[in-house]
Amino acid sequence: MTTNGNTALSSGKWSWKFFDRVAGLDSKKIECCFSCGACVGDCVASRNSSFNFRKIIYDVALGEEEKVLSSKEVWYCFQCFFCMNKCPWRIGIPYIISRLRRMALERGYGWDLVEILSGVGRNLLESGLSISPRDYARLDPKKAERELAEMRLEMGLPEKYEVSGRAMEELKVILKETGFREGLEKLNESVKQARECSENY
Amino acid sequence: MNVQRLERIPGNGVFFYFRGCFINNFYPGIESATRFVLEKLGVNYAVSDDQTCCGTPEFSSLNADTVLTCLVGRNSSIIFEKTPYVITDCNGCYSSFYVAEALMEDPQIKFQTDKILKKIGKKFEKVEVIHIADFFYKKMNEILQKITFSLGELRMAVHYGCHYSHVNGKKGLDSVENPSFIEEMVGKLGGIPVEYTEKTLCCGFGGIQQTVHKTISYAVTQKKLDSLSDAYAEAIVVICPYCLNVLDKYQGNLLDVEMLENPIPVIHLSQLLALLMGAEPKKLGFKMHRIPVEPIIAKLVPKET
Repeated sequence: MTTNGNTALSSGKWSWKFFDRVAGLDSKKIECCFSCGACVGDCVASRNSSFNFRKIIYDVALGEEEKVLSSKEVWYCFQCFFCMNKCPWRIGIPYIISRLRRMALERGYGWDLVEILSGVGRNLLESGLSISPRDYARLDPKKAERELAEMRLEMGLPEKYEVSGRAMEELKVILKETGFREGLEKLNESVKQARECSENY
Repeated sequence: MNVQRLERIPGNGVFFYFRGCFINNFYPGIESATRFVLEKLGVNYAVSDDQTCCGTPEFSSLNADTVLTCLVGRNSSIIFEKTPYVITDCNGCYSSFYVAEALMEDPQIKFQTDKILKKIGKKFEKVEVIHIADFFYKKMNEILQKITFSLGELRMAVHYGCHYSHVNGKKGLDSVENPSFIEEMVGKLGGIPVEYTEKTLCCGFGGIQQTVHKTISYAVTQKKLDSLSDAYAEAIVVICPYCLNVLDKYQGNLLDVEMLENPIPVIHLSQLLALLMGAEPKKLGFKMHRIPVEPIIAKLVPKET
C-alpha cells in the first residue's frame, strides 16, 4: 500500500469521520501531506506559542475530535496566510482553522475568545460597517463621533460615511439568511453571562 | 516581478474606489490622501453609498463562510454596475475579495451564496481587485512627474502586510518572500530604501490575537520594531490601516511609559505620495497618529524643476 508519506495515514489509525468535516475540499491534499513542517517553521504563531498545525492535522486525522476542539491551540492562529504559500500542496490551512474554530464554538468552547466580534458584529448590523467611530473612544463615544466629523470636514470629506438605506435592507437579508444574526445573539448572550458571573464574583 | 499581473492593471478607464470602514472611521486621512493622489493623476474613479463592509474573513471564525462570500458578492455586483476594476487602500478589504474568490470554489458555499444573493437580486460578479500600491507602481512615471518634493535621502523601510503578500500568493504583483517594488518606488522618490530581516513578519495584529493573546501579539510587534531600528529605519511605509494602527499605537504606548527612546513614524503610502505632491499635512489626518510624522515632513526637499 502506498502511504503518500503521511504519518497518520501510515500508522493505520486514520479516521475519516472527523477528518472529512474538517478538510473539506482540501482532503485529497492533506492525504498527501508528508509532514515536511514548512507550515510550522515560518509560522508566526508557532514561533510564539504552542500552536503547531502539523500536530493539529495529525490529531484530526486520528479522529481526536474532542482533543482538538477543546484545546486552546486553534485559537492561536494569526490568519496571516503565510503557511499557504509555504505548503508544497497549498493546503488551505487558514480556512481549516476557521472551520475548526466554528466547530469548537458549536461544542461550547472558546466563546470568551471571540468576544471582540460581538462589538464588530453589532456595528455591522447597525451601520453596515464593521468599524464605528465609537470604537476608539469607548469612554466618550459622542465626543469621538464629533471629533471625527470635524476632522473629516476639515479634509473636505463628507461628515460621515453612511451606507444607503437600500443597501442596509439587502444587508439585513444576508445577515439573517447566513445565520450571522443568530450567531451574534448567541455570542452576546455568552458575553452577558460572563459579565454577570464576574460581577457576582 | 509578475509582469502579467502588472499588464492586467489598466492605466486608464473608470475605477471603483472601495472605501474601507477602518480608514473612514479611524484614519480618514488615508482616504483623503488616496483621493488627492488619484485626482492629481487624473484618474476617473467612482464611489458608492450602496457599498458595505468588505465582510472581513474574521467573521468566518464565528459563523458560516457565507457571510464573507455574500457580502463580497453583493459589493462586487454594486461595483460591476460601474466598472470591473476596484481600487482599495486597505489590505483587509483586498484580502476579503481574494479569500471569497477561493471559498467560492467550494460547490456547497457557491450554491448557498448564489441562493442568498438571488433573494436580493444580486449576483457574484468577477471583478479585478487592485491594491493601491500596485496601482501606484503602474503609474510610477506619471507620479514622478507630478511630485513637487523629494524624500531627501530619508531612510525608509517598507512593511507590506500579510494580507497583501500572502493571501494572493503567486498571483500577486511581487515575490511573496521578498517583495521589493515599494522599495524601488521609495528609491525613485529620493529616499533610501532600508532592508531589514523581519520584512515579511506580521505587524502583530493577527485578527483576534491582539485582544485575545496580547502578550504574543505585542512580542511580534516588538520583534518587528527591533528589526526596524536595527536597520536604522527613520520611517515606516505601510499599505494597510491596521498595520499602521498596530505599529503606531504600540510605539505610542511605549512612549507613554517612557520605554522607548527613538520612535519611528509610520505613514501610509497614499499619505506619503500626497505629501510629495504638495498636499497640506493637516488635510492628511496626521492628528490620528500617535507618533508624530513631522520628522518625515522636515526631511522633504522641494524638487528642482
